[in-house]
Amino acid sequence: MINLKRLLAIALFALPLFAVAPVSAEDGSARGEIKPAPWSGDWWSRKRGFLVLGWKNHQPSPFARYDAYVQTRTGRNPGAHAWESNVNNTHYNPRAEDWEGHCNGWSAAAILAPEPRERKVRNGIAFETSDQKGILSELYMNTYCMFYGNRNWGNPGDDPQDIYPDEFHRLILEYIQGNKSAIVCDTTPDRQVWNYPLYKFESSWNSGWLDDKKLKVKTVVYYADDGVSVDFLGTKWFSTTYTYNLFVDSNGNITDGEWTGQSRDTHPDFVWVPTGDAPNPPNTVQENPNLDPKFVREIIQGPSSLDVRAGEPIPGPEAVMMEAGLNPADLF
Amino acid sequence: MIRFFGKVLAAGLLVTIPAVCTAQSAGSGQVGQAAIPPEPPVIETPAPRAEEGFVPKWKVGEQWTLEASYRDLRAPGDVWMTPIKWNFHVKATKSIHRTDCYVVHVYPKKSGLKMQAILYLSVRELRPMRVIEIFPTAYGVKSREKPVDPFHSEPLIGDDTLIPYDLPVFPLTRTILQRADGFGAYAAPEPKVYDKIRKVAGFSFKRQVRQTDKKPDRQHADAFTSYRLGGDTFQVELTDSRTGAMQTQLWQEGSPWAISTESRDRRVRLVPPAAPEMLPAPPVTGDDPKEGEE
Repeated sequence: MINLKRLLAIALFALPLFAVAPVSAEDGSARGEIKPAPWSGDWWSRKRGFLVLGWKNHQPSPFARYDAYVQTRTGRNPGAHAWESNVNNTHYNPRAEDWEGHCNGWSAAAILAPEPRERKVRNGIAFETSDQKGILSELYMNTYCMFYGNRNWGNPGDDPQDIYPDEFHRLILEYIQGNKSAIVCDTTPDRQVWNYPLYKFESSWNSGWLDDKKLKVKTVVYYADDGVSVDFLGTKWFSTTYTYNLFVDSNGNITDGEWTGQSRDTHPDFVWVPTGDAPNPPNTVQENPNLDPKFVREIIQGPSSLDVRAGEPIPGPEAVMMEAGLNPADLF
Repeated sequence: MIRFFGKVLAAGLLVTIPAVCTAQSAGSGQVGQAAIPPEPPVIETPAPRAEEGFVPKWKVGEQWTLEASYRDLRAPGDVWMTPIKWNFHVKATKSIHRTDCYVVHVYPKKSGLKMQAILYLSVRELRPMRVIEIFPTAYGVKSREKPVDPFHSEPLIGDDTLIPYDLPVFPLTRTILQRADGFGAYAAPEPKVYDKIRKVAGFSFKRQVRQTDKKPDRQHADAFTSYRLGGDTFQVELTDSRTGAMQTQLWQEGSPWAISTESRDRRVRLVPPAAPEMLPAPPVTGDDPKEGEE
């Protein structure tokens, strides 16, 4: 009986601890994954210039093939290769810094376009998957996107703790767990930019015994990698662990956050989410203006082999059939 | 006695378990078919009288166009993307939660951009009752119901979309003081502070947004001239208390939407009904127009 009284006392003491637990987001976990994952591909270094020079056992280059195809369709060279080769346009420059490349174009393409997985032949011109990925990476250099945080330019006043972890946590829940889209992170908080698509996360948290207004969070994120050979297919990934505290008000709302441990120096700088291809802004060199989305679609989409002679426009309804993977020539 | 302990402990656990599970289970079912949430209890709010402020009034079938430019914050310098024109079409009125609502379909004029929104806004004060967003993925288009609490008053701000459907809390007012000489004078505007609650996957993220309604600053006077409306004008400033990010909207009675909205990364203007197109010349790169061009 004495034991029962002690048990009752313990239970009555412990009950309020259960009852005053925050409304949500106490000890727990969350995870999310975008399927299929964004594809891996080369980041097309400006210094190496593969897009215009080609590479070992791969000639002509992707843009030389593009120009040749468009010439068969329109009768004139669109000049995509010439523009890309011009060092004044900064897309190819033997003196560029080692880290400069097309990682933003690859990231957006890997999220917005299905992976090219087979060789395409157009009017007798072969486009390997590497050519297609290179052209897509240039096409998506300029995209409409949602942008979060502030880019660190290395200027006085730039906040090295931005993007804040409460915003980062909301974004992975909103986009990844919500199965909406992979997001692109600049994975270094300094002035360099290393864009990678984040497509999967596993997060866990606890509030600790003494401070229930602070959630201590550990989040493992998975990035699609661009450190692959040009003809790589599929998704090579790498993972990173971020730790941070989220501050919770008396109603269980997250109101603030701070990076902790090594993540103070290794957290993402900014996050962006591409939503669609955009034309080159006037007077800028962000994207090759001589690359036409219409001809890129003709190359990337549709059957493995297609012969559309010069001057023959692809009629609208048949273009839609091609987008559906059907070859009008096979059916009519 | 032991049975009693069991009930006490079980009750304590039942209180706790939903709180723990919420964050893990919520979030599923957010993408895909947008279902109407169950009807919450009706909460009576006093109807504002007409003289209490300005609320835009629309008719079914009414349409207007917003032209939005977006700053590329990834790029060095002051780079603005080619504008997108968004069509707003009042498709119908429907009752949501026993409240008469406009149903507004928002879509880009250029069909290649696969982003759209369907807004259910109360007729009385344009309070968002339901918001559906459509967005592209690599493998097709998806839709998602944006969580909104129709009975919590806060500005509608599209944090995760390019679609410029941001709205302040209506009605807009400009406080007028009666002076001793009988003339009215505008009082210094007092900001209204709203909790902006964003519920995501069982978490609740809170920011505060300050809304200030005032007479437009003199620098904005020219903005109204293209519209020839002649009604009362309002300048609305929406400021995020955490980041300091601010957007400024200019409204005028008789206009269906803000005639101008500006923030650090977005400029939106209402296209005057008969005004000539003001878009920059598109780059000539091929036969077909590209996204964002007309």
